[in-house]
Amino acid sequence: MRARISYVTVKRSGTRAVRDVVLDVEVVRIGRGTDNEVQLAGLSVALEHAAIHLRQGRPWVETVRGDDLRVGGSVVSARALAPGDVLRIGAHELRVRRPAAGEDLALEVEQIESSQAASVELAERTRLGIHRGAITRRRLAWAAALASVALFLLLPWWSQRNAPSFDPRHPEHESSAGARVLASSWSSGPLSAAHAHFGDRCAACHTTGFEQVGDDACTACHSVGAHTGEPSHAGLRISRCADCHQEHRGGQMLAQFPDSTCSQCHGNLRASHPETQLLDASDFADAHAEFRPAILTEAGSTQQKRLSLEGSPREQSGLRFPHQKHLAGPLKSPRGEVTLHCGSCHRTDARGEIMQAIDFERDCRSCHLLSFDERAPDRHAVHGAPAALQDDLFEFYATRALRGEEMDESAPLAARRRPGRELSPQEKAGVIRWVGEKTAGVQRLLLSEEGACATCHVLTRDETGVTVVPARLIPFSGSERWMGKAIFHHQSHAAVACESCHAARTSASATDVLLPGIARCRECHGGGTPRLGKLTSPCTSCHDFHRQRFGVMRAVDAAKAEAGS
Amino acid sequence: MAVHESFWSYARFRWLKISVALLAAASAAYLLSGPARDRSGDTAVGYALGTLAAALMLWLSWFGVRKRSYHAAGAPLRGWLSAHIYLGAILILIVPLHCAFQFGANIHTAAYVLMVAVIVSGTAGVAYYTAIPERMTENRPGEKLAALLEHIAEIDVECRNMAEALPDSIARAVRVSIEETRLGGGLLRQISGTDPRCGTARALASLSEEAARMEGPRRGEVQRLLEILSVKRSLVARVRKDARYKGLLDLWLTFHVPLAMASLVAVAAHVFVVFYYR
Repeated sequence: MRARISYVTVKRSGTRAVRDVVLDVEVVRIGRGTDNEVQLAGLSVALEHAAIHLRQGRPWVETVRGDDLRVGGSVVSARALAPGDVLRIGAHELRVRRPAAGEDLALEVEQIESSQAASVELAERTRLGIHRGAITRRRLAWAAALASVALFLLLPWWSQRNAPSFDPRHPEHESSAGARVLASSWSSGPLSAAHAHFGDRCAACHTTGFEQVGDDACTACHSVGAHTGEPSHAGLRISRCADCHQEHRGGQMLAQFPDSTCSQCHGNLRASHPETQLLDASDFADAHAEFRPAILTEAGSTQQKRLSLEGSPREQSGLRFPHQKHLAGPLKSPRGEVTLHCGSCHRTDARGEIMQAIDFERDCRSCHLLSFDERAPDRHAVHGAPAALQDDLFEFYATRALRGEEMDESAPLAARRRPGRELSPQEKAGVIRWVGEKTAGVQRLLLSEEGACATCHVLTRDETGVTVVPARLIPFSGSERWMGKAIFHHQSHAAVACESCHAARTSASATDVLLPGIARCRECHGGGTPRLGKLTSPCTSCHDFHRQRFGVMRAVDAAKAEAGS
Repeated sequence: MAVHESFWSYARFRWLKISVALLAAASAAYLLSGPARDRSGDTAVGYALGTLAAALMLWLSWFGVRKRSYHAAGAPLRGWLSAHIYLGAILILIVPLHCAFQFGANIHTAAYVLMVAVIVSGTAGVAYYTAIPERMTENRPGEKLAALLEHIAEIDVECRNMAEALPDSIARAVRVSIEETRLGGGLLRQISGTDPRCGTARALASLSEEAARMEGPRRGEVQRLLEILSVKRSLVARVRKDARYKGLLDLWLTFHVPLAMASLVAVAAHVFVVFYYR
C-alpha cells in the first residue's frame, strides 16, 4: 500500500505548514509509540491505537489497542474509509483525501485542539488519594498510641489511686461500678470467691510495686501456724503461700488442687526421688497400692514396719485382747452383766477423726479391777510399770502391818496385834521385812502366767529371771499410728457400722490388724474424676499437705486446734 | 507481578517453614509444661512464650522502618515481607499459648484483641495485594492515570465545541457532564468506586431523552454526542475504579499501622502491670 501522510501544523502567525511523507508499507499504524507510521502525541492516544490497511483495494481502518476511534463523530472499531471521512484520535483529526494516481491513501493529519485548559479544570474537580488534610497515617498512629497509654495505664492508675481503702464497716465508701471496672482492668483474672470482696483494692495484697505478694498479706487474715515448710516436700522449693495458692484464677477457693498436682511427682516418684520408699499413686480409684500400715513386727520392740495388708501382717503389740470375746454378748462383771459395743472402749479425738488411745482406767478397770488381796477386795492394784506396782503393794501392806491391822497368818505377831500399841524398833524392823516378802510374793503372783497382768499382756522374762511387761501399746495417735500418712475421719463415717470395715467380732487375737483393705474403701470412694455411684475422692481427701507432724496439711482451723492441743 | 506472587513462596517457603516450626515448638513447650491447671503466663514456659511474642511484635514493627530504607543491604524487601506475614500470623496462636488461654475483661486481653486486629488488618492487606494489582492492570492496561484524565479533558473540549451549535437543553446537559463530573472525593466515595450524582451519567440520561424527541440532522449530532459521552462514562468509571483500588491498597494500612502502635503500647502496659503486680 502506498500512502501519503500530510502533517498540517498551524504556526502562531496563522500560516499553515504541510509536510508530506510517502510510505510504501503493508499497514499504516497509528499511535503514540515511535514505531508507528503515524505517530500522534497525547496521552489519550494509545501506543498502538489503530491501523489502516487495504481491504479489497480500499483503505480500511480498525482499532488495535485504542478504544476511542471516531469516524465522522461516531465511535467505531472498524470501518472502510472513503475520501471525505474524518477520523478523530485524541486531539488529532485525520482527514481522508482523494489519493493521487498510483497512491492508495492520502491522509491529512492535524492536531486540532488543545485540552490543556480542560485538563486544569478537571484537575480542580478531582480529589484522588485517601490521605489528605490533617488525618495522616503518622498522626493516626500517634493518636492510637496515646489513646492506648490513656486507656491502659492512666485511667486505671487514676481510678485505683482514688479507690477508697478497705473498710467493711463503711460499705457506702465503695467506689462506683465504672471506677471498679477501670481499676480492675489491670487484674490478670478474676479473684477467687473468698477474696472477691477485695474488688479493686489491689493494695490489700500488692503492698509494694515490682515485688511478689508476700506471706504477710496472707497471714494478715489467716493464722496458718506451721502451714508451710513441709520437710518431705522441701524439694518443691515452695517459698511462699502464693507459689501453690495462686490467685486471679477464679474458682471457689485457693486450697483446691486436682490430683494432677500430686501425681505429676507421685505418679512416678522414683524418677525424681530414686531413694524413696513410697509407692507410686496417681488416682485412688485405680492407681493406689494396697494400704501399708505401720506394724509392730517384733514383740518388745517399738520398731514399726510398713507392711501391705495383702500379706495379712500380724501385729506384735504385746497385748492379749480377743475382740471376739468382748463383743460376744452379756459379760459378767463386778457391776453385773454388761454388753459391750465398739464405743464402750473406742472414742474419737476432739475432731472426730482418729481413735484415742485405749485408757485402762477409763476403758478396762470397771471389769478388770486388779484386786490382789482377798481380805481387801476393794483395794485395786495400780496399772503401770512393775516398779510402780511394787511401790503400790508395799505401801498397802506396810500401812496395814504397821497399824497392826494385818490379818495374814504369815505376818509377825506385831503386825496382827490389837491396834493402839506403839511398836518397838525391833518389832518394826520385823514387820517391814515381812512386808517386803509379802509384796514380792504378791507381785510374783500377779506377773505369773496365771496372774492378772498376763490376762491382757504378753509377758517375757529377761535372763535375770525378772518379769518385764513388754512393748507399750500403740498409741492410736500421732505419727506412730497405723496409717500415719493419711487421715481417716471416723465421725464422717458414722453412718456406716464399725464392723462393716473392722472385722472385730470374729477377731480372736490382738495380733489381728483390724483394718479394711483398699478394696473396701473403693466400694464407696472413687478417684479424683467424678464417677456415677462413687464419692469423688481426690488425693487430698485423705492426704492433706501442711499437716504438722504427719507431714501433710490441714485447713487453718484444724492447724489451730492442733497447735492448741 | 513478581512481588505479589512471590512473597508467599520466597526462598522456597523458608518463612512458612520457620513459622510453622516455631509454632510447633511453642505448642510442644506449652503442652509439656506440666498439668493443664498449672499452665499460665507466669510460669517459666509462660514467660518464655511471652518474651518470644513481644520480641516478634517489636521485630514486625521494624518492618515499617525497613521498607523505607531502599538501600538496605541483606535480604530483599520481599523476604522481609514474607517473614513479616508468616511470623505475624502465628502470633495469633503464640499469645494464647503464652497466657494458657486465660482471657478476661482486662487490659491484658485487650492487648491481645488489639494485636488480633492488627493481624486481621494485615490479612486484608495481604488479600488486597494478592488480588488488586492484577485488576488494576486490567482496568487500565499499560496506561497511566494521567492519560485517562487527559482523554477525559479532550472529550470535554470536544463536547463543548459540538454543543455550541446545538439547542440550550443539549448545551446544558453537556455543561452538567463537564462541570459536575467529580473524580475522587471523600474516603467512602473513593472506596465505593461510584458516584450516584455523576454529571456524565446524568447528562447521558437527559441527552438520550432529548435525542428521542429530536428529528432531522440535529438528531444525528446529538447521537454522536451521546456516543462520545459514553466513552467518557467508561473512562470516568475506570478512573473511579482505579481510585477505589488505590484506596483499598492504602486503607488497610491506615488501620494496620495505628493499630500496631496501639497494640505495642498495650503490650508495654501489660508487661509493666504484670511486673508491678507480681
